[in-house]
Amino acid sequence: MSEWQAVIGLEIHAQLATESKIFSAAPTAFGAEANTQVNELCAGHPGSLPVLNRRAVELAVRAGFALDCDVQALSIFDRKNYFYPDLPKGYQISQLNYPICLGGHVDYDVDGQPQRTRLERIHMEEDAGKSQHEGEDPHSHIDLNRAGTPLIEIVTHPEIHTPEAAAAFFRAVREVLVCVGANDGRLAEGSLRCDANVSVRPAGSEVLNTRTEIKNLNSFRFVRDAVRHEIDRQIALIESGGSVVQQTRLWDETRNETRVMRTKEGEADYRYFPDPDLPPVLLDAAWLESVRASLPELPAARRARYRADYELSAADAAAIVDRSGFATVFEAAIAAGCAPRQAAIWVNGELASAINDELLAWRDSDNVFVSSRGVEIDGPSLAALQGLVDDDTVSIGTARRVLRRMIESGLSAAAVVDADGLRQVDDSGQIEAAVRAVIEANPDEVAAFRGGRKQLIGFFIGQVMRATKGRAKPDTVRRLVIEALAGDAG
Amino acid sequence: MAIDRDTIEHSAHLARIDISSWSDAELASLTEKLQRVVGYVEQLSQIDTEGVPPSIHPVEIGERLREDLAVATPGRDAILRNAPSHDGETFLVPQVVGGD
Amino acid sequence: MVTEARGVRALRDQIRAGGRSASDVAEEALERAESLASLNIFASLDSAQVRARAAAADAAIADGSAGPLAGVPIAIKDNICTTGETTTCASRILGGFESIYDAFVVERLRDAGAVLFGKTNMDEFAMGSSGEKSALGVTANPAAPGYVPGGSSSGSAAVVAADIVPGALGSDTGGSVRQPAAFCGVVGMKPTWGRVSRRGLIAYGSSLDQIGPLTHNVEDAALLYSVIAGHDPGDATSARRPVEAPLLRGADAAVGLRVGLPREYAGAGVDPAVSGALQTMARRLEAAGAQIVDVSLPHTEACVATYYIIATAEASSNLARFDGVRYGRRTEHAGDIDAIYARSRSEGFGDEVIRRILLGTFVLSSGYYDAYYEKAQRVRTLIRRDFDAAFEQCDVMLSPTSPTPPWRTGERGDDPLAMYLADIYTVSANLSGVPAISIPLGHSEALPIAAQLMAPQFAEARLFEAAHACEALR
Repeated sequence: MSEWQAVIGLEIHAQLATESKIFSAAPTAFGAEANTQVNELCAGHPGSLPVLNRRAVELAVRAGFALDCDVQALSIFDRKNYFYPDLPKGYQISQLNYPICLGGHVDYDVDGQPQRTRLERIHMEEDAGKSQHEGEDPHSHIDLNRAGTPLIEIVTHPEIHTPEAAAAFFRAVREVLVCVGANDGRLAEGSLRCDANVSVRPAGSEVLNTRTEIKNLNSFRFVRDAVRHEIDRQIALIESGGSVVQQTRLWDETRNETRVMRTKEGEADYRYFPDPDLPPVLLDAAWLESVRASLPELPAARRARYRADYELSAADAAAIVDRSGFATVFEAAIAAGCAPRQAAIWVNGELASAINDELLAWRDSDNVFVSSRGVEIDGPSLAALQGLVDDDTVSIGTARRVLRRMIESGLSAAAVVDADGLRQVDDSGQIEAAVRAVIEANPDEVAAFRGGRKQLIGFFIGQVMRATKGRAKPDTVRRLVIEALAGDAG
Repeated sequence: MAIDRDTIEHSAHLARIDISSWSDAELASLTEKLQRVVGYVEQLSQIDTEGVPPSIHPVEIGERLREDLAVATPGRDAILRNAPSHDGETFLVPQVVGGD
Repeated sequence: MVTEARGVRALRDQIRAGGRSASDVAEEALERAESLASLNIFASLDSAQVRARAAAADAAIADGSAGPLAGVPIAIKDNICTTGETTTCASRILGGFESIYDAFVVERLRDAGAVLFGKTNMDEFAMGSSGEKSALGVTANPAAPGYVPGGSSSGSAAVVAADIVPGALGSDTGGSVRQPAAFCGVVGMKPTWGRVSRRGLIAYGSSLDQIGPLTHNVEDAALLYSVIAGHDPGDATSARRPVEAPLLRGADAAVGLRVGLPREYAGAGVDPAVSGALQTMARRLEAAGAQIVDVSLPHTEACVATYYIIATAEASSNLARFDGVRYGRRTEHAGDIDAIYARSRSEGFGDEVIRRILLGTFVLSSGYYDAYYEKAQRVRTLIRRDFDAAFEQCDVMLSPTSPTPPWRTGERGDDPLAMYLADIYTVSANLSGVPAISIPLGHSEALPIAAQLMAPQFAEARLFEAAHACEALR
C-alpha cells in the first residue's frame, strides 16, 4: 500500500439558499410534490427567458470571499449543451471561461494536523431536475422541481491524498458555506453534493494518471468510504496487471462499492458558448466590498478565539461553534454578564439537551431559540438564570429545572423561582428539623454510617433535600448532616 | 476543414437528429449542401481579427438582476398539459440508465 | 388616401368615434380571411376567440377603458406565444402546442385593447426567406400572385397586404420582417436589439431576434411599435432606455438629414429596377433638403457568412429543447430515450431546420469552435464598428431591402446558399443590432420593390421620421 499515492480532486455542488430559482421566480422549496415548483422556464418552454437572481449572485460571492477566492468583477454564463430527460432546455446554463471566482483555499484539520487545499475556481450554474426509476417500471419519471435551483460548483486542485482528508475538506467547506448563509448544509436533502476525481500513482511521482469520477456523494462518510474503496480498487487493478479506465462511477452504500455509471468515450462535446440571453455579470467594487464586510466570523477563526479568549477546551469551543445558534446565545450571555465558562456549560449542557428533547429550535431570523409555543430563550435569559445561581437564590440543580420551567411557561427565571417557590432555603433551624427527622426515621442507616459506611452521607443529604423539596442550600445541608451524625455519636 | 459525411454524422449524433434512415442520395445531397455553405462561410478566415474581441451581444447591456422573490407557479396540470406522456405527476420517458 | 382608410390608426379612430364596432370590424375581417383562405396566410385562426375578444373590446370602449388599439385586429406570427390557442412555429414538432403564458408583446397588445386575430404562417422556426419552408405549405403573395411572399414572416406580411387586418407582428432575425414586407408591398420594421422584449418569442438566433410590426404605412408601424417597445424585467437583454415618440412630419424631416448610401450595397446582383427606384428616392430626398453621403461598410461581404454561423449556432442550442419529453411531438417509433430524441426531432423538423441545426452544431463542436463560431463573433465586432463609423457621417442609411423583387414560387428550388444570399442587405442590421425599416417604393413590372432605412441603435424615432419622409416623397 505505502508505495502508492492517491490523487484526489473534489467538485462540490452546493445549492444556494435562495427563495426562488437562479433564473426564474419559481420557488425552491424542498420536498414539494412533483412538478409543482415549476414554471415555463424550469420546464424549458419555448420563448421563456432567464433573468439572474441577485441573491444567488450575492450568496456565491459570500461563499467566494469566505473561501479566500478572487471574486471576479466580470463573469459570463455559458450554455453547456447535452440531452438528458431531466435537462429541460437541452442545455445547462453554467460558467466555463469566466467563472465568478478564481483561486481560493480551505484550511482544515485531519487527525489534528492542519492542512490546506487550494481551489481552482467556483462557478455558478443551474441544477437539473430528477429522473427516477424503480425495478419493474418501464418508465423513468421526470420531476423538474429541482431544475433551475441555483448551484455553485467548488472545484479543488487535485492535491488531496487521503480519503480522510477528502471527507474533512468536504466537512470544512460545508461549515463555511452554512456559516455565511450560502447553503443550508442539508446533505441528506442533496443540497450539498460532492463528486470525487480519484487516481493513483507511485509515491514520489508527479504524474497524473487516468482518473475515475465518483458522482453524487452526499455524506462525509460516503466521501471517505467511496474514495477509500476506489483507491483500493485502482491499486488492486494495476497490481494485477490491469489499467484504470476513465469512467464515471457511483457509490453503492449498501454494497460498499463503487460501480460503473458510464464509460466516457473521450471527452464529451458540450459545445459551450456564451448564453446570448444573459448579459455579463458585472460586479461593482463597492458592492463587493460591502458583501465582504458583511461576512460573519468564520467557524475556524471563532473556535480559535473561544479557546484563546475564554479558555474553552477545543471540544467545548467546537461544540458551540458547530451548532446553529449556540455561538450567538453564548456570546449574548457573556455580554449580559455571564462568566464564559458558565455560559459554555449552559449552552453545551442544558440548552443542548432541551434541543435534543425537541423542546427548543433555533430561529435564525430573530437570533433566539424558540419552543413550539413561541417561548424564546436567548443569551440574556441564560445569563439571568446563572445570576440566580451566582447570588445563591437557587442551587445549580434547581436552576436546571428552572430552565425547563421557563421553556414551558414563558416566565423569566426569577418569575419561575417565585411562582414555584424554589428560592433556596438557608435557614439553619428549618434544615436542622429536617435533618433530625431523617436521622430518626432511618436508624439502620445511621448505625451503618457510624459502623464505617461513610458513603451513606449521600443518602442522608438526598433524604433531606427531598424533604425540603430541593430548596435547601446543598452546602448547608451537608454541614448539618455531618454535624448531626457526628454529634449524636459523641 | 471542410465538412464531410463523418462530421455530419457526428453533428447529427450530437444534435440528436436521426439520419440513419436517409438514403445515400439524400445524405449525398445534404453533404453537398452543407459543404457549399461551409465553403462559403470559410471566407471569414481571410479577415484579420487579431486583437478584436468577440461580440456576444450586438448592444451593450448593463446589470440585469431580479430580486429573490418566489412567485406561485402555473401548477402541475399546466406544466404537464402539453406532455406527450405523463402520469398526472411526472413526465414519462423510457427507463434511463445511469443517472445525471 | 386608401392606405390610411384601412390602416391601424384609421380603423382605431373610426371605432373610437363610434363609426364601427370592434365586433363589426372583426366580423368583416373573418369573412375576408375566409374568402382568402386559399392564400394560406394563417397557421390558425379561431373565429370564436376573435369574436369574444372583439366583444370584450366593445365593452371596454363602452365603459371608457379602451386602450390605444381598442378594437383593432392584429395578427401574430406563429412563433410568438399566445395562451388559449396554438403556437407551432409552423412546425410538425410543435403541432398542437398551447403556450401556458403570453409573450410580452402579446400582453402589451391585449392591454392596448387590440383584438388578437390568428396566428400567421411562416417559414418553419423562422428559417427561410420565401415562406416556402413551412410545414403548413407556402403562403401566396397577395401583391404578386405566383410569387413568393418572402419570409420568414410570410403570413404577417400577406395578412396586411391582403387587407384582412391592418397590422401584424413578425420576427426578424436576418430580415424576416423587412424582406416579406418588401415582397408584399407593405411596411416592416425591425427595432434595435433589446428594444422589444423577446420573452415569449420562440428563439431562433437569440442575439439577432427582434419582434417588429408590419403595416400599410409608417405611421401605423410607429404606432404598433410604441405599444410593444419598452423595458421588460422578464428579458435580461431588454433595454431600459426610454422609448421616444417620433415626430412624423413627412418630407420636412428630410431637411438637413444626412442620408448615407453604403457603397458596398450598390454592388452587382442588385436588380436594375431596385437600384433605379433607390436612386430616384435619393434624388428626391436631396431635393427635399437632405444631404446624400457616400458611406462605407467594409465588411459587408462577410455579413451573410457571419450571420449564418451565429444564427445556426444559437439555433442548434435553442432548438434542443424540442425533444419530445415535456411538450411537442414524440415519435411513435420509440425505443430508448436517445431514439425518442433522434426520431422525434428528425420526424418533427423540416429539411431546412435540420440543415441549420447540423450546421450550427458543427460550428460549435470541438475543434471547429474557434475557426467558425468565435471567428464569426470577432467579425461581428468589426461589422458593428463599421456601423459606428458610418453613423458618424450620416443620420440614416438608405439601401435596398432585397437585391431583387420577389421570385416565382418554387423558382429558387432547394439551394440554401442562393436563398441565404437574398438576405445580404438585411442581416447586417441584426448583426449590428441597429433598427431598420422597409418601405414600399412602388412596382417594377407589377412586382413590389422596396427601400430599407437603417438608423443607429435606439434611434427608432429618427428612423420613423426619415421613413415617413420617404413615404411622402415616393
